[in-house]
Amino acid sequence: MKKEIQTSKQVSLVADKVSLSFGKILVLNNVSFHVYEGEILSIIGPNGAGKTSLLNCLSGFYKPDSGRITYRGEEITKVPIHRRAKLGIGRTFQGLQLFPGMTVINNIMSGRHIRMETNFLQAFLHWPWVHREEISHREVVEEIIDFLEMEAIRHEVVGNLGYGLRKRVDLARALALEPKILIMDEPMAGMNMEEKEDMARFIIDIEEFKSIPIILVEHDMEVVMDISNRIMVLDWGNVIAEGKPEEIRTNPAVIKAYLGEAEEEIQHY
Amino acid sequence: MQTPFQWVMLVLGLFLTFALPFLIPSDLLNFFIKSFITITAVLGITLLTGNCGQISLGHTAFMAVGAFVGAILLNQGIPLILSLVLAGLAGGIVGLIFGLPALRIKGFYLAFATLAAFYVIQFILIHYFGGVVGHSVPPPSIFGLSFNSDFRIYYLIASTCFMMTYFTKNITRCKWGRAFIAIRDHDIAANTLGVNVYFYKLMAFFIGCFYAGVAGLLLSIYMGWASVDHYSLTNCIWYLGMIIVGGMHSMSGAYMGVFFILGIEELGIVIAPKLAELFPYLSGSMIGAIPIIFVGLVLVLFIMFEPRGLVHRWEIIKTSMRLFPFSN
Repeated sequence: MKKEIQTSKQVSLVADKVSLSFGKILVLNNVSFHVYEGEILSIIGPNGAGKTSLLNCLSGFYKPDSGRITYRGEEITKVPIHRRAKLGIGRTFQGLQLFPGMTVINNIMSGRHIRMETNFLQAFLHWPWVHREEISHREVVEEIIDFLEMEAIRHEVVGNLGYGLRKRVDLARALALEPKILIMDEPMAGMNMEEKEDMARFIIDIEEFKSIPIILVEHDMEVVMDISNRIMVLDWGNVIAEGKPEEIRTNPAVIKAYLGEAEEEIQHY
Repeated sequence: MQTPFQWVMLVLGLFLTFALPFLIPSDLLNFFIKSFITITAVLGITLLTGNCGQISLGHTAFMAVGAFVGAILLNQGIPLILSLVLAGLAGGIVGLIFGLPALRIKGFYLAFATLAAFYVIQFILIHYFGGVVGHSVPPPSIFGLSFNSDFRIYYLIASTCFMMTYFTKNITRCKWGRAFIAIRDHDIAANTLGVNVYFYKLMAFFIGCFYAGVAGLLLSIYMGWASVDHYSLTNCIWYLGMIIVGGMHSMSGAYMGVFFILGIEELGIVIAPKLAELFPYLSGSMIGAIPIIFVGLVLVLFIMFEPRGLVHRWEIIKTSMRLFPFSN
């Protein structure tokens, strides 16, 4: 499944000494890492390690206390959330953060928001071009639906869908942005075996066909070891290891962080 | 508008609406005039509360702003259409200003902030723009055709209402409508997709209150007078009730809700005297309260048994008709 990467070694996103604390609790302590173009970087770590907080710094929900985040050579540490979408940072969520009142199509169409140019007056009067714009974007959305194999559920209201499919809609919506980097927070949490396999396949496909880097936070070690090009391990807000999956598997610091239960789990693969 | 059938129904509906004044007695015509004015206002709430999820208890105050501005303009001899647009804009801009708290607060707290807006606006209108007496509104005219009778005003109001319905449809069927619903359903997710939540919330207030401004002027034209008394807080709460009964987020919901609630109220007014005859020991004030008790009861029943409103019921009926005879 895993292929040897020929990373062009072009850096997409860099976090430089990012620190974040809530009150007296240090969540992230001088976290530095970089993501190369076209690679899958997984961030793993025990519960409370700061993985989601790190992602939230990357997509702008939290402002780090210190440190810089650079994306394609541009500092984005303080850029507002909605502008990051325009820069090409896509994100999927840990929970179900879809728009349950909309159909699948409309959920994905809302991912096209930043690419649509209809202004208020044009919308109000339904300029002929508004309709043309809808159609052209709908075509892009249909491609994504094909790509993620969701043809059958197009017109379903998201609120009526099962968990695995909702996660897929979430991914589709993020892809509709045409992101240049994709941040995924636990895409496989709560899925069954089959859904996990589907999702893993989609992640690999995205990396392969769209050649965008993916930052992945995931608890399922098997998947992580299988599909990542590189892995970074966080523990209590510190980066304790970073490297290829096989290096991480045997890294004593990592094994120690995961302690008993995880020691077996990691070595098992 | 997808099938020829729907087009035929639309044309038929429009024809019926415009033939209506010839078919019904004048007191029933007043009911329809009132309904169409209310629908115009409620469409604004449909967009603001139903679609964008921002609750506003100041809607009638924004109507009053539109009415006062429109009345002053009409008295200055400004043409009717321009006055309607400007009244809408005035309502929209004031709404936008009082919508600013929505950037920080949500739900219950926002409701109270807008409630404060209601009283602030009423105070300003009474003290600086013509007082409790208000302004008289001369019968406006377009191209020499004067709207000086209920019969004529009906056409003005029905056509304005349909125009506004068309605009609502336009807003909801493009990226703007999706952005509004995205903010209602999950504002954080909307934000990561590049929706500028602050901007769209304010625009929702602007658009919703634009409708209020237009509806306010229409009401004052119908009444012949713009006075704060016509724009009470009670009405605003009934409007919210109407979108609950009709169905929060759809235009047809606005139509159904308004006709349903106003219809029940009318019915209560008809029934009340009969009840008074039957139960002579009921006091007069009790009789007066009967329509309101009726409407309140309906509202409670809807919240309990069909919170998605009449529209949802209608969808179910439509689906089962489409599947006939394979449905139950």
